[in-house]
Amino acid sequence: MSIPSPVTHSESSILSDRTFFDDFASERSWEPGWFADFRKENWEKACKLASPLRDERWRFSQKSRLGFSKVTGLDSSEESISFESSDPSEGVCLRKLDKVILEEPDLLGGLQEFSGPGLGADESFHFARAFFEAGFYLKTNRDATVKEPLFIEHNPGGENLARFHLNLIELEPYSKLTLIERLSSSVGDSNGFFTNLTMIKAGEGSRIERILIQELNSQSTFHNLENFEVCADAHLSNVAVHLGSAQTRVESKGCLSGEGAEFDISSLALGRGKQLFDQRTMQHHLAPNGKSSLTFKNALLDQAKSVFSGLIKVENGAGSTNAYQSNRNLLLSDTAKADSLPGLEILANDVKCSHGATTSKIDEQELFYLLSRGIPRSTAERLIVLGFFEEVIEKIRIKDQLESVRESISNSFDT
Amino acid sequence: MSTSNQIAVDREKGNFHFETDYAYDAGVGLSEDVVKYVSGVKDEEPWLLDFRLKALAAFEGKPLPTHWASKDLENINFDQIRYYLSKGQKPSRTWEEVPDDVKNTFERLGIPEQERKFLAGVEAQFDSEAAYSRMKDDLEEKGVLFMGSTEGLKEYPEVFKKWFGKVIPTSDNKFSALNSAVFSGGSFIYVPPGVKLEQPLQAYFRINAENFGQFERTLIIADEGAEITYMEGCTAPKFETSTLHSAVVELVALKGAKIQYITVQNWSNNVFNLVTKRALAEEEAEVRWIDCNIGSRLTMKYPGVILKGRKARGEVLSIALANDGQHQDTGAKMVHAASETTSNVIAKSISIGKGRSSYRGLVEMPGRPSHCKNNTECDALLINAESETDTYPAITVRGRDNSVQHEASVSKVSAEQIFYMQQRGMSEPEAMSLCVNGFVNDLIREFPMEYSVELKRLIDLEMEGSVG
Amino acid sequence: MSSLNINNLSASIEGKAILDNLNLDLPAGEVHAVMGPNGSGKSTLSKVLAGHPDYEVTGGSARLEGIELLGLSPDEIARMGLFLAFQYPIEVPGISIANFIRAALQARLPEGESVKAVDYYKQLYEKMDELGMDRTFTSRSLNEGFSGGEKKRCEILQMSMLEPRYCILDETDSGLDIDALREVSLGVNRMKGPERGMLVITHYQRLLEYIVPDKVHVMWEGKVVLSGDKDLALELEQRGYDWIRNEVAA
Repeated sequence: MSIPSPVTHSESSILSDRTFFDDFASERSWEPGWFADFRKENWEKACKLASPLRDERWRFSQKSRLGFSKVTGLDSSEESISFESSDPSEGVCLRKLDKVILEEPDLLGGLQEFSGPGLGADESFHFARAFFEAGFYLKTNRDATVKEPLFIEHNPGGENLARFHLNLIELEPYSKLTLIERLSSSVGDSNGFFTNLTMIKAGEGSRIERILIQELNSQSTFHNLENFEVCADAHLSNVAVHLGSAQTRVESKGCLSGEGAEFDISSLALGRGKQLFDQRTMQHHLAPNGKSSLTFKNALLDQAKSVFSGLIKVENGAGSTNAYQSNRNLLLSDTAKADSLPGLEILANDVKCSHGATTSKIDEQELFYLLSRGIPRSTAERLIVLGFFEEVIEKIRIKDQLESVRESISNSFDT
Repeated sequence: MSTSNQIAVDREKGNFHFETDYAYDAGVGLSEDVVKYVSGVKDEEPWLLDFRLKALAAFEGKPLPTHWASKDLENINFDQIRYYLSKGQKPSRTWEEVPDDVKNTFERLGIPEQERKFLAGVEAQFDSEAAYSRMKDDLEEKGVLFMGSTEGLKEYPEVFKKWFGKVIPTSDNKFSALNSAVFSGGSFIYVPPGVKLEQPLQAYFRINAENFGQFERTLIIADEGAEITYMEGCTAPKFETSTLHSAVVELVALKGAKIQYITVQNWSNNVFNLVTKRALAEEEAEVRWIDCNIGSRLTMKYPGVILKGRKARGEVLSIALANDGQHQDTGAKMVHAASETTSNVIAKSISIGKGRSSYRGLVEMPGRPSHCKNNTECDALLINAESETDTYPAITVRGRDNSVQHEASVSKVSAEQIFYMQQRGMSEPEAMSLCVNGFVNDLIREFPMEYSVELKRLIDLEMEGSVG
Repeated sequence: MSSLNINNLSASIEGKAILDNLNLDLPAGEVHAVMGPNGSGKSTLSKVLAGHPDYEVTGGSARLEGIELLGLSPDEIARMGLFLAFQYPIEVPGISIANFIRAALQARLPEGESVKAVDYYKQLYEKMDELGMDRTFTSRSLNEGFSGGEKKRCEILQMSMLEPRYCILDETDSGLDIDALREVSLGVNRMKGPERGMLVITHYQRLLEYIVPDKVHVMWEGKVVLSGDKDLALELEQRGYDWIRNEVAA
């Protein structure tokens, strides 16, 4: 009897080719030495990764769809990121990462201590740290309230090209910020590979609301990796809207590291065709009196598929924790599929934790009620899906953004 | 609240040991020779030996499932376990014929008394083989078969072979493969069409020898429209070294049949209890697992139902209690392979001291069958600051005509409740016991009376010394 | 001819017959009441007319101004002008009342035309004022967390906005206190007119004190067994449904 070898290597990609990396590194030889070391170290880690045959962190996923084997190169063209206003209000520093690397690389010293979400996509995490050329650096001053929301636009790479964005956000204590990031493809049908690695540190008592709207074209492969650290009494809210891409892997981890931290994360995804949304989350409670809440909603048409795997982990020191996790899936066709893995690991006894997961179709009684008012079936279904998502949409508290999200969802039923 | 240890009074009931002489002993460690020895003692047909040897190869080829399960599995020393021990006697039909040393054991456990009171039949297994097996005469006349698996294979091979290994394939997991290689004992039950048993049949499993591994194999077939309740209990003395119990239980509920399978697991807490239990439910059949895990060091057990026929129904009601040094890793599996099938899972766990309880669930609706429904509720109660609990459900749904609902919660007994009851004059442990009983009460109400009383008593004993 | 005509209508649910050769004519301009004990098939009648998929029509016809309703989809029936006020209005999370009614109005417009927001809200607020509904209601999710009275008012609001030609009010009085009943009835009465037919389904006579019917029909075991004027309702109230049982048995 042959025993399968315990490890397999994912299909090799040009990104792990030594000459390719050396060429990339030599083009960036102007960077400080520690930068070169950082890139190299991460590149080597990415290449050395042996994925175990059975990796619980990829359970139910279609890992091969999320790899880099088809990548032929990097898209280094400029303007992959843009800001709506070049000079935002006082008390905040928002700069493009390439400029920071060139002019003030020392600002990025904190880069090395940031770990990734570590929920399975180690390869794209290390590649992102090896190959990033763009992204943004954002820092608020202590006590600063940034009144107007900041808008940032990301554009992924062209045909068969990969692009890695690295975003560093640091909120000094008691500052406040609203951030809106849009991801859309500048080229209509290129199968770009886009990895967006974001690290947010919300300092003591700070508040941040981040909204991410993903409308990539239907050929794109998207990795969205997020690691949030929420310090004492800070409040971090993250809302994600996923409408585009061919396949998306989301990893979001929130560490409630200080007492009284609050973490609120919600997401909606509308899947059509053969779209895949692979979502991994973790609410990690390390300090007492923390509060976290997660709501992930997926509506799936055609042969779309979603995987939600979430974990609430409460460490022994994190007493009086209140954590909630909810995954709701709405299946709108006979071939749509949803996997749900809502998990709890509780090591403290003074906690209130719960999770819920439901997967079902449109409620027949609801549908009949709408039909009985003369609303045609297709409109009724669209309304019900919008209604299903509303719990997430209403967390976008900027009116025109909220309206445009509603419109995008509604329009996607027409195509 | 302190985290002091439990006074495991309840387990003291089974914690005694009479010296016993064995006629057959497969020695220590696992090999082809041991498998051949077991098969030889039982005078088995060649196909069965072949089956066992293939299973041994499957067991050796499979890694321990530590990529998701407890690393504690690595502490099982398969080379130090004794895989077969028996006195070489056929099971007796009267307690008088049972050898004194064995009979004294079961009498002390109260088995003959229970039999007189409320059971339709009893099988009592002592290490590898049944020592006693008896069913009421009227059931025999109705064609009900109830015997040990060794006897079942010999006397009714045509019924046994048809379903043996069909619900749980040998290589389902490492421990089902191990069981398939060295199985001995367990019950074989066949209930003819339309026969409904009013009283339960009971099996009692006793591990007596140190370093011993018990590998019973149970197969229950309820023919069309038949109904049966089966209960099993188990104990072992507390030895210095760890003991392994690894059973395979297969249930087959044919069209319209109902099977209720009740387990009160109270092994001493040096027993690794790694059990595979699964049922097949045909059209409009109902299978219900009632699973209570109070004892053992590590239990891994996820009773399942394959809902194979239209309108079949599966249910798992589970209570787990994990105290210091214990990990109750339990759960349920529901595979909806036919339309209009429904399943319900209610799991409640209590973690005391440094105990850890885990729930693992699997619900699968592959898409072709439609109008399937599942409801799952898991609630965990944590008593002390170092108690642990995890919940890991996996739910797969394809197609728009199915629905799944899963809810889980984790909570602790509120200090306010305890204070309120103390103010009324109750001691803290009494108050805690009351809260825990309240937590599991609605579930225990589903159990047959005799068992719910026993279970409540066990929980009360387990709670003693957990606070204070 | 302007009427809703039901002829020999039979229907069942999960194989169980509920309506049995039922006949009833509702001319435009009239208000008819259907009364009957629990289980007589009153609510089934309203659901079958509205095209609910759970019911199987096993015979007969139902014509709205000469056009057969049976077999049409629920939304087609609604757009033909039949409105059902539900006994238990369904809660639909996430959809606001304003958006919902607007979508229903939009569905009635020819392609290319759309509801004008200003006119729409003006009209909506007028009707809400008439029904004594707070304007904050428009942004609340449809029926979600509404009290019984709020749900019924919301049904009447929809009815008055959509201006159907035939209205079926299924047990609209259930769960209403006397004040709410009065207000809801006022809303219904405002909609009476020579062009509109109304079918009021109720178990009790008290609703008919507020919405006075031109005719009263009594249902028993799936058919109309007795018809008369509004006094029949009073008689029924006094003598109870046992009286009908005896009448039918006789």
